Amino acid sequence: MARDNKSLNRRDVLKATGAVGTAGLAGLAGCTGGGGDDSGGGGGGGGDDEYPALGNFPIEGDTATFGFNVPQSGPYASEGEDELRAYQLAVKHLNEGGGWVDSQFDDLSGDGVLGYTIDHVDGDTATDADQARQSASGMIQRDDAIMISGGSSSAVAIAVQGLCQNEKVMFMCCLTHSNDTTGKDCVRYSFREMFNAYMTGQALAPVVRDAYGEDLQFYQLYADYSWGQTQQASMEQFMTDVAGWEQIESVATPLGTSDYSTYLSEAQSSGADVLILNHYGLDGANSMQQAIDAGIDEDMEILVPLYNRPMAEAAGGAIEGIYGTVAWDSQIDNTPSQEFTQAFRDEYDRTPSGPAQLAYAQTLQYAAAVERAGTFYPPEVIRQLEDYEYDNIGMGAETMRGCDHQAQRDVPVVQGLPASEQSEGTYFNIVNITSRDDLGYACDAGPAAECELGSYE
Amino acid sequence: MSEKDANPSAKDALVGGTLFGRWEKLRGREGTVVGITAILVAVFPYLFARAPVVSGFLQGYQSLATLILIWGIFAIGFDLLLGYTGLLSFGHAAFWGGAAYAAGIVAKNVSGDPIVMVVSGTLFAVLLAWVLGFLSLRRGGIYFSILTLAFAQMFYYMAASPLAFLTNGENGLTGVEVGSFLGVIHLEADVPSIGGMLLGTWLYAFVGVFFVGAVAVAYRILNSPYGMVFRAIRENEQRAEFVGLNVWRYKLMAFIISGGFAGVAGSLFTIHGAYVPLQSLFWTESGDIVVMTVLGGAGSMFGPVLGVGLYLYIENIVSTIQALTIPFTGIVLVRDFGFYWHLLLGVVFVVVVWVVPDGLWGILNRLRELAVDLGSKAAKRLRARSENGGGGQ
Repeated sequence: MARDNKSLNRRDVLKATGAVGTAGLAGLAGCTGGGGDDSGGGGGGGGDDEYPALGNFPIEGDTATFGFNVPQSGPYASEGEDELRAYQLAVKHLNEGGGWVDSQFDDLSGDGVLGYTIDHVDGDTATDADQARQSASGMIQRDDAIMISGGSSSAVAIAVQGLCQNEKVMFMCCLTHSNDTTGKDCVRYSFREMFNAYMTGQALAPVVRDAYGEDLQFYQLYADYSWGQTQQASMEQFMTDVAGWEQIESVATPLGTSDYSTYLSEAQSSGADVLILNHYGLDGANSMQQAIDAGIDEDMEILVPLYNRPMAEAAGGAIEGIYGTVAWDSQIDNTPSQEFTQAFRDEYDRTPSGPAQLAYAQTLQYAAAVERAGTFYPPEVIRQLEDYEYDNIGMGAETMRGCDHQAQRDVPVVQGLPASEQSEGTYFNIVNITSRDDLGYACDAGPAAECELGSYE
Repeated sequence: MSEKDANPSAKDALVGGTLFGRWEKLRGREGTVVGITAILVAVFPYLFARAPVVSGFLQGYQSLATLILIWGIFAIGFDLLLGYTGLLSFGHAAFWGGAAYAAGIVAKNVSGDPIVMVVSGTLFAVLLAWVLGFLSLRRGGIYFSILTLAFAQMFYYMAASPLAFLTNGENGLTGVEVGSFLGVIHLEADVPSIGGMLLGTWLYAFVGVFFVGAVAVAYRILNSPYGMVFRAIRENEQRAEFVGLNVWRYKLMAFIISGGFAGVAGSLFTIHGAYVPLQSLFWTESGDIVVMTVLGGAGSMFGPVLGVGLYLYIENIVSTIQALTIPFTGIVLVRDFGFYWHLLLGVVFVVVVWVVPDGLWGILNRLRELAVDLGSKAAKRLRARSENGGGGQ
């Protein structure tokens, strides 16, 4: 049997080779033709644009494609869904006018960008750095995306921005809070509107000092990976220096822990006055819920440095009175915030979350920078964004710093609402919007000291 | 199948005259396999990413073509262990990810030369496989699988936190600078002229050479007495032992060889992405390679590569389909179709395992047998008719 198969196999294989050979030849013929067309197109493109080809520049045709890479599955799926809504709203406004395009961004016309219609593709990061990169490289290579945006986790954002730097395609970060994104892992092609763990520590310390007093002792639990580590280090630094508190202990919990009871009971018996839970996403919802169930909030004050919506939704009334920071909140009282909330409500009949505002803002910021540069050529767009000063996204006066591509902006400090006062989209009470003058660090200090942005081209 | 041919029997040897011819044919056969692989590797990215109609339909792109070959190398090596030696390892992420990190760390600290990266990554994987194999192979069956899984997870946790100063923890290894090949060729650049049409980038060509090499090596191993011992162990370990073979040694060797393939693939993965995700050490990666291999057909040379292709195709391309429409019409069948890619993959996997346990390769084999069958029947009928016709005259 083996022998029979073998000989037939060989014949088949030869036949297949013939077929493949023919296809290959036909393909070659097609290709040389295509190549000719290509160079012709390139020449034409060069005529109306003085910049060389780079990444996906120049854009072929009259449609520019943005790639929105958000978590559509996994623990941050609901956050990703809201981001995607905001991205789609931004594209709609860019093409047809409306929202901030009409009111806040003078550079934008509401009739596409530089005469190009904006189209978009979306992909699923699954909150997994590897898959996010695959998804982004598909957008860049197949869909010829000129800009990528998205991310709901720092590992994803760092992985994708590295890819974008190599591919010479712009990346506008959405939700990423780690110091490293604009610290040691920063790149030239990426810009971050979101603040970081360092600034969270700076914003939170004076507020909790005033609320709970000085000379307290605190105990930290942190998720044992880079974000958790930088977060707990920043908290230790600022609670010690600014609030004048003393750290008793800081304990690592494995990422993805579902039962925190042993860690919590140790914290409870430590005699500390404050418990800081450096957990995010579902981990954060779990640890906070369990801390409340164990009655820890009766003997200790709890702090959650970074809140997000899925976390608040999952924890429900457990967040009552707990201080933390958020990216943005619909209750912030200024014109851009109200306009965005209204536009989002009109479109989707729901209240936008903090990450949604980031997604919307970063898309428009990119488009406006393209208009100012007069080209999609990435280095020119980057130069337009670097050290750009603006006051149109509802977070006060801001600067997109050129040395590390980190926005210098205010940070909202919030306190969780009791279950009875919560409603869809409203979970927090804004305590204080900490001014950017009290936050941040110089270009040669803090996380920025480790940042080397890399080349423009 | 072919070991019969690979070892010309004594009878053949006696017929000295035909021996040379036979040897020529034999040599031709290995050459044929490698040659055809090379041709397919050469036209694949063109058909997948650039050909006028085909690629428009397939929606492929260059970097996915490269990735399929890289995982293909991994799968061929894994199949040596699972399909041919009958050992189910659930810890191959350790070799894949370990090699990826080793290559990345070497590139960051010593040299970014792609060859140096591949050599160091592979060396690391081989040594690691030696140690882990030595420990895990003490037990068989499910215990072996669990041991490999446990060891691999240890590496995941090590890389996530205690070794974060080396691996950059959860953020993955960033800032890997891949140097140019032989100091002249930038792997990111396109291959000039016709080569560029077919292959695309130098990176693909570089990976393609390793892929063809992996096929040649695997083919050589499987068609050697050594490979026969692997199969003997798979069929009946005790018998193999009674024949006088040192089963443990062969099993360890199979484990190390397959770790070596995973090492080559893992290092190429770092070169491909200039980044190492922490997930490359996670157990899901070990699970993926098992699914890919079984999907394609464990115990066949090229089946696992088909499995890799289908898996990555569904994961990266089907998952981006926004709405499933009936071809050439605008009628939408399923909205947000791509969202269900996990489900689709699960269904495909279950159906394949249920209906054709020998995987996609099994389907191809059956189709071929069917065609041959129909062909010979048709020939017989033709012959019968012509004979009848002759009788009539």
